[in-house]
Amino acid sequence: MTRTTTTAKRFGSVFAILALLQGFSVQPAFGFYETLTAPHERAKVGVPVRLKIPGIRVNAAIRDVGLAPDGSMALAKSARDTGWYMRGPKPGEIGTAVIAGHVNWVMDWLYGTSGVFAKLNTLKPGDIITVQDDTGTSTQFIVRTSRIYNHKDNATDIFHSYDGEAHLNLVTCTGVWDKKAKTYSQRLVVFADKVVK
Amino acid sequence: MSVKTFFVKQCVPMVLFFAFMLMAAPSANAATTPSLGMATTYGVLANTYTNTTVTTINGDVGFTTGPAVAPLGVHTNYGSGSPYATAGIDQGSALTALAAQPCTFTFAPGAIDLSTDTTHGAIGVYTPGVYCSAGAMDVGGPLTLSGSGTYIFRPDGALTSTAGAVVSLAGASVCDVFWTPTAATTLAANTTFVGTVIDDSGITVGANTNWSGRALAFNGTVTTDTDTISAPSCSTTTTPPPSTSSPSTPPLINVRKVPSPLALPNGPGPVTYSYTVTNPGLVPMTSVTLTDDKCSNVIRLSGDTDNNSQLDISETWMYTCSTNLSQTTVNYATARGIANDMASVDTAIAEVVVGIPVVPPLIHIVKTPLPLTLPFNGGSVTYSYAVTNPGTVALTDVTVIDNKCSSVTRASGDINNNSVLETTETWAYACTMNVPMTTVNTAIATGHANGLTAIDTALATVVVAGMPVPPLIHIIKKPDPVILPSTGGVVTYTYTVSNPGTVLLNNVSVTDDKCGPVTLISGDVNGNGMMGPTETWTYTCRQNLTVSTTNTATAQGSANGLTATDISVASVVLASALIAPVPLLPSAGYAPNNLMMLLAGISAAGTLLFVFTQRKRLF
Repeated sequence: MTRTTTTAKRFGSVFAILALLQGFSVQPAFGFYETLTAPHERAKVGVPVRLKIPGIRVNAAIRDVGLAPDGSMALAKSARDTGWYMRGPKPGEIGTAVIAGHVNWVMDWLYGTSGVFAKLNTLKPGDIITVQDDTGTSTQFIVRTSRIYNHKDNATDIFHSYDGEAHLNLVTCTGVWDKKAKTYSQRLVVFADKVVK
Repeated sequence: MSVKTFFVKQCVPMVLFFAFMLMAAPSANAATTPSLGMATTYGVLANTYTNTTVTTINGDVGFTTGPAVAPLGVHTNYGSGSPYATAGIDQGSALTALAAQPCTFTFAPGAIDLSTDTTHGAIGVYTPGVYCSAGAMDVGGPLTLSGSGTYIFRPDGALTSTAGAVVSLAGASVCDVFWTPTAATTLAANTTFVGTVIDDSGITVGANTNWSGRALAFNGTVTTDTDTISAPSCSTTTTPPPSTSSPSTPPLINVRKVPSPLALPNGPGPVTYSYTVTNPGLVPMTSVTLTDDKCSNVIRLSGDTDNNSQLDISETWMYTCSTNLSQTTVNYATARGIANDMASVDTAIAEVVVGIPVVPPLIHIVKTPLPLTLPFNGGSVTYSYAVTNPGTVALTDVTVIDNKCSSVTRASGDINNNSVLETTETWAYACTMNVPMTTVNTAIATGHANGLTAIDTALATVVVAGMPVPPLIHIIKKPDPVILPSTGGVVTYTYTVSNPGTVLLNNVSVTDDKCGPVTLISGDVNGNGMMGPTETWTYTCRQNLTVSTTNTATAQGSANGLTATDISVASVVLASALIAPVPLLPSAGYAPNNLMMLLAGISAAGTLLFVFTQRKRLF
């Protein structure tokens, strides 16, 4: 595969930016870095408790998670629940909130596909994600793009954004099972932006 | 063994052990209410007291610079008369006593909303203790202080409230609630607040706030606005100590640890821990030791004023220890002392966050079409792209795409063949396409470093049907520095504008969406006001940044009735933005159970086969 075709697949969403740039129109910064907002300036957002993605029939509880002993983001204990990285922003706050979920379950052979994010790879730009917090407030996000990372890749782009906007990234496993590392070889990340009403 | 012998040999030691544990361990960390001395009766104690509306202060009001509108309410003492000065001294003593008490709970680094936090316990509910944070504390909504005892909220930062926030007591006393922020206190409008705030950084009370407690800022400013502050009636000491100690009095030791610096945002480095060991008990202690599980060379600096090797009640022993930290580290200091054949132990926890030294990457692309003009019906055009790295870190996964020319291929430039765009390399790409009509297209170069993405764009026009030669312009922007201290600083942007085309550019301008004015420094060598293909014009702009900032510079120039435009994007980040360690990606899947699925399938197939072959016998 040539570098160009790889690029085209990897940065397909860039063409949307290109369309905006045509005709010498000048767009504002792309948002690769964030204009950081001090924590106390963050909007008041409750703790996320439920994740709804109608497009892939997800209606799951959100558990608070931190770091696993190996320094990776931890996950909810149940494969049917999702885990919100509580050391980062809450969904709806300025910055990037990250929610991870299992792609499968150890008992899938019996129950079929039961990982909460088993169908995450079918999400497409424009799909809506809703996060409900403990105050009953729902915040909607719209899928912007998806990207695949190797499991040891630097995850700065996934956990941090610097454009002063609220983002939500969903993470699950993909690739092949690595018996030695006891994990999947890659991670699927869905990038979504808060819907501004 | 008789029952009596069993009781004496087995039960008595156990009872004594548990009695000792009950006496020594819990009391070492229980928060206590200090004496406020003469500050007790003050509702407002300030250097400058500001009030311009109808405010009620039920309690003494102390100041040297008074308000425009005197508050209503009952004040035995008003202004700078006695005991104003003594109250100020007592305020300081109380703060020292509060600061000496070890944290019973430390929030995760960063600002904390006390009303929504769930890491300390039930949401919105706090039990007696010393609550510490490395950032600001906000009372974002309802907050209940539940249970009798002392509450100390100690943010290393500001104390704020959200409009309408309510602090309520459930079994707690207003006399036992203390707030000791290190930055300013700002209560929003309509706050219902409880407790004594000691804050020389200043206390601002929003409109219509109802506060049962005291605003103590003897060396600062207190500002009120249509509020009611009521100083509670409290005894000056809530827990009078016994007059004498006895041979059975257990010892008490206290240790407090402060790392310096609190964070290493730019990566690994040295840290010095300062430890303060005190004796809040009633008896002197011997065999005092201090250890730290992550810092081995703990040295006592001072404190044993009478050189009797005993930690006396009045003494404060200072220790220090230095070490190098390569990653975010939480460590425990343990102080131990003995008196009356009993030991007292206290621990102090500190966390130093070590950041990842992240330098934002930069990438630069110049695009040149050949030819710039085509005859009627167009023809073939070859675009040449030169991609460079004007930053300080090498770029990986460098890509170039063009929205109108699909087969961009790299021709040369990766000198060492490592697929990494070094700062010394120029990668050349090319793409050829048929251009049947006047075409504007955009190339985007992308590169990655340190987990961040750098992007630059280049636009070019090819004119068909004998139109004049279109102009080209190019701009590159470089910030200096690219990383600022956490407090911000001045950044100088340097813009280098060039003309990769073939015609002179008129009306050349450079603007920046977040910096101004952009000033031309040099480059117009012949002073004709037009940019020739051999000229490079340099512009600068200086800006004071307090937040991480991404901005876009736009260069424009005209020729032959056409306008050429180019943009350049660059970012400057604050070190504080890079402190938070980035976790590794989660492992979100289980090993596929192919074997189990196979067995299940075989079992199901076998069952079906058995049923089918035996259907006559079975049915």
